[in-house]
Amino acid sequence: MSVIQKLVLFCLKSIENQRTAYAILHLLNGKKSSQTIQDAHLFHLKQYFHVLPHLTREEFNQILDFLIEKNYVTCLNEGTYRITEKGDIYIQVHAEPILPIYLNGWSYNRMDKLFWERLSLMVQVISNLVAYNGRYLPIQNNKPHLDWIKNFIQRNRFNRYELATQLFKELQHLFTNKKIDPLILILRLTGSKRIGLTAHQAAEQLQMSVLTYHLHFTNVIHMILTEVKGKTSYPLLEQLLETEEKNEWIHLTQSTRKTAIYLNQGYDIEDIIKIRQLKQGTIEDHIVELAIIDSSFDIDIYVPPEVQRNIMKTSTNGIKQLKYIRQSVPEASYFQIRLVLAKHKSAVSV
Amino acid sequence: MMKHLLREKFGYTSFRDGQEETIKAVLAGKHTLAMLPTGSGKSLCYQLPTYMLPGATLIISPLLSLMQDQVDQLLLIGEKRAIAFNSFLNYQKKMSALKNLHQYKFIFTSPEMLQSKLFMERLSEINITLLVIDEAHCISQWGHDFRPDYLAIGTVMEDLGNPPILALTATATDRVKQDIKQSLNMQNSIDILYSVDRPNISLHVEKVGSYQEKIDVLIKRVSALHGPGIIYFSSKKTAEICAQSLKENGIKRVSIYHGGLNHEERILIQQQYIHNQLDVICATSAFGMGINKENIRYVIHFHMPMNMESYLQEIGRAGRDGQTSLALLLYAPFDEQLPRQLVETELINDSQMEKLRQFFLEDSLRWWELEKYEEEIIAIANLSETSMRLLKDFHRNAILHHKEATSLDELKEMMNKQLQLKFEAIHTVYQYIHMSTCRREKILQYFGEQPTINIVECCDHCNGSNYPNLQAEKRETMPEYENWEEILQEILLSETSKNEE
Repeated sequence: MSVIQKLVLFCLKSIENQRTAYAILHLLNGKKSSQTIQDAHLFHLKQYFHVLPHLTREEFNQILDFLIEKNYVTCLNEGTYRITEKGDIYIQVHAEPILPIYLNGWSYNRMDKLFWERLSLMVQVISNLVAYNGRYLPIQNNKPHLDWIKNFIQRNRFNRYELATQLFKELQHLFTNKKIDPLILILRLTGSKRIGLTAHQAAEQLQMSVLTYHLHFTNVIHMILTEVKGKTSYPLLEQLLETEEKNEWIHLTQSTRKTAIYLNQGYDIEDIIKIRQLKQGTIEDHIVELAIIDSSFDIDIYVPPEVQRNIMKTSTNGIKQLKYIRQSVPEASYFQIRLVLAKHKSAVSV
Repeated sequence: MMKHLLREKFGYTSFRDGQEETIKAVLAGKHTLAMLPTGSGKSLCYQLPTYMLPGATLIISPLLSLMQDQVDQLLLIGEKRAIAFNSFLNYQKKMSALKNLHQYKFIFTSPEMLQSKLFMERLSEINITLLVIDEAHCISQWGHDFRPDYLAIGTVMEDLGNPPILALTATATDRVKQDIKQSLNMQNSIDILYSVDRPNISLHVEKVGSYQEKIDVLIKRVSALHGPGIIYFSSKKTAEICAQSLKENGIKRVSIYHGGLNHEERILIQQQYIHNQLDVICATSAFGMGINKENIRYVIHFHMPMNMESYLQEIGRAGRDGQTSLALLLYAPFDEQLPRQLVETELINDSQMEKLRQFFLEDSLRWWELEKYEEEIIAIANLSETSMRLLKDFHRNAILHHKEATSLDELKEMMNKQLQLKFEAIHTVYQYIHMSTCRREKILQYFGEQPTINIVECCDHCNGSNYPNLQAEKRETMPEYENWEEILQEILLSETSKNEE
């Protein structure tokens, strides 16, 4: 049985036919619905939340068919399944390590992608730094990461050879005596002379399906995250976890503070909608709140200066009604009007 | 000064054919039409002068992915003042780019963006000292890649302060060249025209009996050929199938490449290929632009190309180092049907046109608010992604000139003409495959050139079906690491230990 089939079998046992099998698909995909989130807690499956975001319904059905065929589960009705005695024995006999042990999807589902992107970039940058090679294409093109790594290099401005040696030591220490195959991650790393493999290529080399590879890869990243967090023995790797926060932000609501952190890392509204799975309106509310509290917050990128002037002109006439301003300044959206008024500390009546 | 810049900024010791002449014409402030073969380093022709001109260079480019590649290439030489201003940017990023537009030295954009009022306003405020039209043949209806959007370029020149124009293309027939000059109003331009011919590339066609036989022949040929190669496919699926077959037949260092890859995968595969970690790329047309690899020994076409122009561009990626190289086109009976189908789906046919007409005539408001009905339109007329883009391009231009929905007749006419031209282009490739005289002569004739030099390894009809002797690359085999610590050492410590010694 493949590790993914085992994972589904284990989850089916845990939900004890109280949910349809698709509840498991949603869980592995990391669906942000209250039902899925409740299920993750109720059935103690938090660690598998969002560990297979790309698992399709079709692939999932194939796994179910396999488990039925092998007589590990039987189909009750309407998509609920009961685990058979054979299936139960299988799980008990293979008690401990049938599943990757470091998975912690609930805690790390937002951080793991960011961590890999920064780590792969850090290795590439340092490898090229020691090779005195200034001409190479960064394997990540996302601006916040590039800015972050630039900042990182400036902060750790000791000898470039020391930097490389330190990173080597930390990675070496990290992978020693762990219940994982370090190649799962190491094959993906790019240096000045050696270009890393894509996930597909690494899966092929390690003779796994892409899906299985992904699960193991996530397991390795989660292992690193657990290992590095709060330990002093990984001074470089620990910095990969950092997010910047400003003092004023303690006055913000929890959710707005998260948005502020993302904005500060250079993500824009659309990115944050995707990452946080929130509505555009919610993120816009956060930005308005941020503009009220953080006086250094620059709104020019959201509202062109001349539109700001027009809004202020209309509102200084003593008119604070959004609807009226919107009529007089048709080029501005409600969000833009609220933002300008927030910035200028004007009270708004709706 | 020029030579100095060439060395310091770009790391080259000498110019390639046509570069120096083009750059001199540009620096003299002349309108310039440069037709330089693929792989001759066309980008350098505007990159270098930009450093010697006071203002910014605006580069108009048809493909969004190409634009980003160019920005990446500039980044590679440490140039950060480059931006791709296109529809990929969301509102927020657009606004911040507009605000800082004066800080950029290289501004890449699409023709479509030139119709944005805000963008044009900002452009007119900054000092544009060179206007580059990349892939200038897109402006001509007679070109193989006509884009109605390109026609808009002619109308914005004044707002840009009439800067000197550099029109670049790799392949253009006489008719297309005339069209370019007329549409861009390039009177008294300096024309720098180099032959489309690449004498070090030997031209071969191999006819097989069936699709399956084609795969067998492909495996046989690739096994026997030396050096890095590219195999082009018209479908991603077939590329995947063939890559798999090659691997099963012992050609391990193969990868596929197509437009569906993400940034990390794209960069990794390109770099693996450049670093000789891969021997063969099974690719769709998405692969090649922006790949500067000198030692590609062969380009094989598994499917029939759509036209001679793109065929020449694709085979032109071989042999940039001047060494003997091979272009091989595989043909099985009825192969011409695939390109014909592709052409039909990318254009709008008469029955789709009729459905569009009815839809807009039912309610004339729909025409003026086309954006709102996009999904409905695609469903009603069953439009492909490319044909929807054609409609939108046409619509944008029509609205600008206050034309009603009845102007769709113009689009219909345009489509029929395009269909006919594209079928003719496919037929030219068909003739090229089935001819029995010199292939090079046929190509030169098509582009209105005269054969001038005698070529040793010309084509299968001049030299017989034996391939030229391709210089075997010393293959840098990657050591087969089993050990993760050794890999990590190689990445992080190999230079460190060298330094200590």
